Amino acid sequence: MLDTYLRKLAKRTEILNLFTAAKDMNCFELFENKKDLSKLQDSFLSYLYFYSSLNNDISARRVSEKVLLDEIFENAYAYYRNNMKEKTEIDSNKQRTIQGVFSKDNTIKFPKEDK
Amino acid sequence: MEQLKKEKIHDDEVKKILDTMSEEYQIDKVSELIKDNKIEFEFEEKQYRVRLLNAKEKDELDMVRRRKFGQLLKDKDILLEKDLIIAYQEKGIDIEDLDSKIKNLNAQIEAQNYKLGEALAKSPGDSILNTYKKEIINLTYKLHELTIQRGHLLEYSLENHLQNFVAQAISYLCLDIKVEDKWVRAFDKLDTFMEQDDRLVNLVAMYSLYLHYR
Repeated sequence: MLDTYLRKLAKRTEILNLFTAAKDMNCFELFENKKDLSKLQDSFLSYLYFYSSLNNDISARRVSEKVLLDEIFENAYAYYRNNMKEKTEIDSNKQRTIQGVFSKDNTIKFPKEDK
Repeated sequence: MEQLKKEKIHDDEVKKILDTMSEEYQIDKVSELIKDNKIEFEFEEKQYRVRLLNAKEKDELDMVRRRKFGQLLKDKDILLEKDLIIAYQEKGIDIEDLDSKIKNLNAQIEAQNYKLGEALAKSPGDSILNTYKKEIINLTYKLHELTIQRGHLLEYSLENHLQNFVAQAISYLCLDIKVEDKWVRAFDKLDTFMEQDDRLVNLVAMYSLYLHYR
């Protein structure tokens, strides 16, 4: 239950705005302590990043606001998005390797397949 | 009939307001818990504080943990998790099979999460979203059942004994009491702390868990 309320707090617009401002100004004034975060504070920060990223995707129309109706929706979308990001990174790394092989002596050397 | 309908709507509205108020109260409480890295509370007219351990206390914890591990190893009645698993196997209880079922359920939950996430990104109708959601709830319920079952079976392993002891030791080390406006360690020994009122011990354990383990 505690987790649910932690999420609801992190999801609030005024809290997210405060978080974005603190992040932009590189000064964390969210808690009274500036260092040695408790695990609960750590979880709260993770949720702030989580909802901030979710809201960015909503603004960029990568997903509809419907995602915020349910914690299961939120988790599932975040899982999908992270998988897609990882896939894109792997693809772009492969692409870079191929480009590197091309540019060396103007001959095509195919990279070895990943085992 | 119309009157009954109106009363039902009224009851629903009251329930909604009460739920919202309760939710606001809970969110306020959570907000209090995270405002800093300490939790202060009152118990039987005394002021207590649960806080993070300092470097010296972490060393103290490490020392008592190692001492306890040595004691547990010498105890012939307490088995290491791997030996307990073998003992169960001889009695026909297969924990490795349970682990494989847990792994399989986790994989199924991940696959359903991916499908639901993809569906959300592609905005189909609500019915398909709810179908995936129900499937995730169902699989998560099964996963919890198996995890609890595994936890019960290995409750008496050496590792579990040690983990419980460490949680108690942290609770004892991180608890302060206010004496004449100064915070001092609440109890001089772990045993003395463990002999206190269960309500106090459980409350400290819960707060300690929030600060150190979450």
